[in-house]
Amino acid sequence: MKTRLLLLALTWLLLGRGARASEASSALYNQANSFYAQGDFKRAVELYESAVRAGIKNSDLYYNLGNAWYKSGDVGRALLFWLRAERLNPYDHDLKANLALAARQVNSSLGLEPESRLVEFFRALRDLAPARIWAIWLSASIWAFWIMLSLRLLSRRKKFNLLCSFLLVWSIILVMISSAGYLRRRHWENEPAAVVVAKDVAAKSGPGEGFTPVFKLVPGARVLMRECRNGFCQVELPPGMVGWVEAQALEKI
Amino acid sequence: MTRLKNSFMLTILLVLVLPLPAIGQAFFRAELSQTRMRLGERILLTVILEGENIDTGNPLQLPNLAPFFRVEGSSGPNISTQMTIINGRMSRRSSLQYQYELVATQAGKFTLPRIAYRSGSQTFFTSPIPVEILEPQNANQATTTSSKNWAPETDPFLKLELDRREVYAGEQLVAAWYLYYQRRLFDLQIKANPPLPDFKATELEKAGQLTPEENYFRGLPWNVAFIQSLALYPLRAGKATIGSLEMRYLSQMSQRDFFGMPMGQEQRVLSEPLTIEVKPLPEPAPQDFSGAVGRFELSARLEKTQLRVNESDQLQVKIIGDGNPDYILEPKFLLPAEFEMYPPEVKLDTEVREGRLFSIKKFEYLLVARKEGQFQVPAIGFRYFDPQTGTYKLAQSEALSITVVPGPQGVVSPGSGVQTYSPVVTQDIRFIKPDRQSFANQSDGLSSKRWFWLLHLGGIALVAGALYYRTVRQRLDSDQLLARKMRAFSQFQKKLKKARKLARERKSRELAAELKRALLEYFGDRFGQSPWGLVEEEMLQLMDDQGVARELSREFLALISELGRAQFAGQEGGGDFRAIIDRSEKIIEALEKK
Repeated sequence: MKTRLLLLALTWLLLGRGARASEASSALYNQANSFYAQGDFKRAVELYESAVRAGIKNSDLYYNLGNAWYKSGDVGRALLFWLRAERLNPYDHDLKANLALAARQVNSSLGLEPESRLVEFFRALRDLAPARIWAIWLSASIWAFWIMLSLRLLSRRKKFNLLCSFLLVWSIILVMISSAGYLRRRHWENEPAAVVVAKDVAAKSGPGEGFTPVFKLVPGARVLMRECRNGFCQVELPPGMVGWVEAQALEKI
Repeated sequence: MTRLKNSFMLTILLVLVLPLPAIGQAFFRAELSQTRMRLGERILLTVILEGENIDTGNPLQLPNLAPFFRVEGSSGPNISTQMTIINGRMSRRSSLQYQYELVATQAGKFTLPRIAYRSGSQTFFTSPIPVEILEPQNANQATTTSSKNWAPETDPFLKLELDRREVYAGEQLVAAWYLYYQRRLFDLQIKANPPLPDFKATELEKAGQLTPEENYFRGLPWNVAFIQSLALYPLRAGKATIGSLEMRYLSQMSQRDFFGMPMGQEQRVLSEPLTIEVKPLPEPAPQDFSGAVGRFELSARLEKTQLRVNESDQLQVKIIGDGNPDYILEPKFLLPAEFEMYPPEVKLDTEVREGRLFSIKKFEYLLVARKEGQFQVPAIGFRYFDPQTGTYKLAQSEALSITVVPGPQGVVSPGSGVQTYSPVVTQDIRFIKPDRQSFANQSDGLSSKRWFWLLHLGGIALVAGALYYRTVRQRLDSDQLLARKMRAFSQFQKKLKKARKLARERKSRELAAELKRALLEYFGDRFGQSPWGLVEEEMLQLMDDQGVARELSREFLALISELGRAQFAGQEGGGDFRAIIDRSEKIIEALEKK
């Protein structure tokens, strides 16, 4: 009896603590929203960041923080938080619009060509859902496959047999599509991507100040991190340009 | 014995005599594909030796054909042999053939001398062939010098042709490479593009396959095929070198492979490198000069000339020219302060006009009118250097008028007559998300948990279960006795339920009848034989055979007898129903355990 009471108390404490943290964060978030609406973007940034530090991982919070950074004139950090929000919720149309606007600015500064229609199509497919939703679709497809296979083994009637075979083929197709979508999205979410947050960053040919600058990076440029050495990280821009950048100039997504 | 000896001698004689060659009639001749030709033309000389039992082991030596012919290639010897045995006599007929490709190198009349071939102890000769080599057609001017000072170019050779010899730094120069050849070339391809360290180069045209045209070069007819052309922009003044284009090909050889196809040898051909003098641009250059050299045109146009306040418009500035497109930079101009202008979208296209490369660069600006009024987009200029006149020039657009009228966000498009909604274009981000009471953590969810994925292996158990069930079902379908035995107890339980109902209704006769039927049907299902018509001893024996204890069997039979009596002799509503049902159940349970 005593043990049961102890367990109940512990559960209440744990759940209550989570709920209290969520409430505190939402209070900070709402307060930041009002500062944003008044045009005090710096204060809004501080409060949104406090909510993030409280351990909340939420796309709306990241989105609003990205907006506040953008309005404060820091496109690099704005893109960083919008990209973090996109990993959690790729459906958000406001987020997509903001990302497209910022990406246009960054790409034109970097002199990058807009992506081809085919690349855009595959990206849209990947962004149909976050990895956790792809995982649910994949799980449902796998179970549909097992159930259809079992029913196919048990069915005695010819028509039912045919129906089971048809559904079995479909479940296999669904498993293939959803596993491809899940793996692709998961790879994208877990790749070591970072955003340049500092201004006037020159990528160098080696990990040190003395090396030759090979290309320039602008705040908001999304790069892939390869390795870090002596306070410098080797980064790759999607067109295949590779250089070393000070680690402080980057923020992991 | 004598007969055996004679047969042996005959065999030896045959073996010795048969292989002995007996040289019969032989023919040796030379043939020319044509005896009248023009200078530079290629002809084929075929030398054939045919005959019985001839020796084809010696090589053929051609007499000296200079200065009228040059031997370009040869094939052979191609030997074919046919063996026949008639009336026990074997004869071998052979044919030997050589082919030579000859190029006529001097005009005049000439007699192809006799060609000799030694076969065994005999020497054969061909007849002399008179030939006439004519001067080439349409090359009257060239032949006057060519016949005397003619020095043949290597066949094939690559020639670089430039559209101009004098260029300014940054001016377009078109370089085209042509292949001159007379011999047959196989598997021709570019091995290395010319090194061009002093130029920015853009490909203009490249030949997919050889499309030769006959052309005279130094008095001789050549097949001339276009290979490729490049648009070159010299990067600096001074000497600039166009490196060698290198091509490879296979030349036809006399050897043939296993399948009789001629085998080639890889050869290469290079164009001569060419150095040109690039002139510097005159100094001083105007301040707004970006480095563009060539002929340029600039045009500007507005998508709409009448707008409402806050409505957007597009200004397109187009610059076309044959100079280096890298130097076509964004033109500088100032719009009225009442307009917001966003950085342009830049598009670059190229097209070939009259064999030269023209770049078309478009700058598309998004404008938003913020105040009403009558405005002008000023003339937009682009400074370039014109190499034809040797001066700096300005390509300029005309000033454009634009009218901005007041209006709401949803506006009527001017001129169309149809009401359409034109949303106000803003280059601002979307607004923040609304307030909320609590936050749900959007973590990775179940997908990051290993157990979530392991759970899917449960599907294997599901399929295994289905497979097991299917196997059991198939077994029961094929074995009725087993099926009955397996369902005996469940059937008995069903009947027992009915009996309990009858007991509650205190219908003793029906109860006894139902219980008896239940027990007998159980017996039939369990032991695989219908009890109807069996005497007690037979039932006992059957149960014995199945290993049922004799005591239990007797108790079972006694109960059946008892129920039989109760069915016919019992009184309605009398007896301990529960006890008899329990007893039946107990006996069946005991039988089930066996």
